Amino acid sequence: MKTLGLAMLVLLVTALVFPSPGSALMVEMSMDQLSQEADNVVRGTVVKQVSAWNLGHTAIHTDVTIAVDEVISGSERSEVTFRIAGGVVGEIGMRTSNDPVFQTGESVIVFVGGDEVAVPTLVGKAQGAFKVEDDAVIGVDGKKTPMADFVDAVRADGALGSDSLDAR
Amino acid sequence: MMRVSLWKMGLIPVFIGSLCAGSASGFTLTGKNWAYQASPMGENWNVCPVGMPGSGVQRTKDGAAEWDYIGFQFTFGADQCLSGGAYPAFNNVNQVDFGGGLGAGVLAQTSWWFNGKNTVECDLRFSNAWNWYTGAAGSPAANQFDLWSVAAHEMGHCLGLGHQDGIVPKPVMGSTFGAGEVRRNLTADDVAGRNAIYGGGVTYGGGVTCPATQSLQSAPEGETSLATLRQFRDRFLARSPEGKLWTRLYYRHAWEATLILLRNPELRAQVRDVINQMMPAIEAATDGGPLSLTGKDNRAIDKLLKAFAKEAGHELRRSIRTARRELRRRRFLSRLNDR
Repeated sequence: MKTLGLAMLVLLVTALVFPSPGSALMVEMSMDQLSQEADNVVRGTVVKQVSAWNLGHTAIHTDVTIAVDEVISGSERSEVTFRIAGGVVGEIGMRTSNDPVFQTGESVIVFVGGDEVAVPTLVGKAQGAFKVEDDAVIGVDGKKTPMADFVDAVRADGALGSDSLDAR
Repeated sequence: MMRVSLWKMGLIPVFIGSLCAGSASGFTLTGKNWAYQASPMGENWNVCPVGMPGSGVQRTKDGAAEWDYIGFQFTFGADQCLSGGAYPAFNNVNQVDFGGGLGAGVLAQTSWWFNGKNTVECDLRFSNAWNWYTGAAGSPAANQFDLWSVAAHEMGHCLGLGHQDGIVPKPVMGSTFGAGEVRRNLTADDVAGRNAIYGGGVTYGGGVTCPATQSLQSAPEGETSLATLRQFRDRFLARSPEGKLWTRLYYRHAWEATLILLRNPELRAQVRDVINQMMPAIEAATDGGPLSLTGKDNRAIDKLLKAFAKEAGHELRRSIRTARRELRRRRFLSRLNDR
């Protein structure tokens, strides 16, 4: 019964936060996929962004640091830094169609993966970043989900995943 | 930096008819674009054919061509790989290629570089992790992604458009795209977004957004005059680089000029009068002759420019100042008539 309730909640939040039809030009990742592939899901505030050219001076990346207010999933930590493509260095800037753009000081929830590599990245690029306003989470289509529901859904996905594994 | 023949702002409402796209506008802009160039999208774009499936090279060009209009045309150079397999690669080459490394779930990605609001380079990569449909006719299978549609979408990013959802019909710039789906043709929303950057009618509040239409729509013979102006645009102005530049800038400033006309009936009447006065010259040019303006024409145009300037914002006022100066020099006419 509890599992059924969690599943219903996940479906509800997924429907609210993600666009429903088809797949994205980045192929749409479900909440379950985002949660499963993320090492850390945190809510916090963007406190620092450092942009730089790569070694070959062919692309710009930005290391984004989040001061963590809440660890929704993963290990406890006070801040998280991850890398996105794009940024501005001097007079030249670079953006991509799939990477999000953050504003320092804004509240976000991010799904961060790649703990075992040198620099973590966002799971699903822009799909792994959600803006937070007025205790609501804003999806890529602009729809708002109450924070508590969103957090419950992320954690429920983890629980459902474990249940599935256990069932096997 | 584009050399601007700026007196066009004043003359353009006189000369050019409207081809306003009519639709509610919900497009989003990246804030970076090529509008500063005299010939946007005219710098060579290159498709690297290595690894490109089927007719992917041609479908890429087809996708880009969806955006072509009087304001610009995508121009492709030879099919060659100029970035050494790197993506993205800031190297002054607008490169389209096919490869990996885009990350899980990514169909394609566009990267653009900019200096201020000016885009200076754009690269595009299609992911080799998917099953692509590269046919022109027919339709993709349920597990295939239509490369033509995705190319149109990504080129939209290159020219300065962001994602747009919540519009029916779903625009090319919609953020979701499914296997088996075909979405190659621009919707009114896509057109409005493009035109907002590079010139063209932009509709707001269901109103008319072309200065000429705003001035002539209720006038006797208004439709006839508008038809003549459209012919003048397509037969005369479209034949010279200077004329194309005029047309593009007319559409770029059309919204402000229309707003000015909306709140100023006397100015609308003044535009009508000047158009009527100049109609014989416009018709002669449309029929293949040179465009010639009399001293009386010049004085009427100058007076109209001054009236517009009183209502215009800072940028438009500055443009009009330059325009009036050029009008007095009359160099513009010789460029226009130069075939």
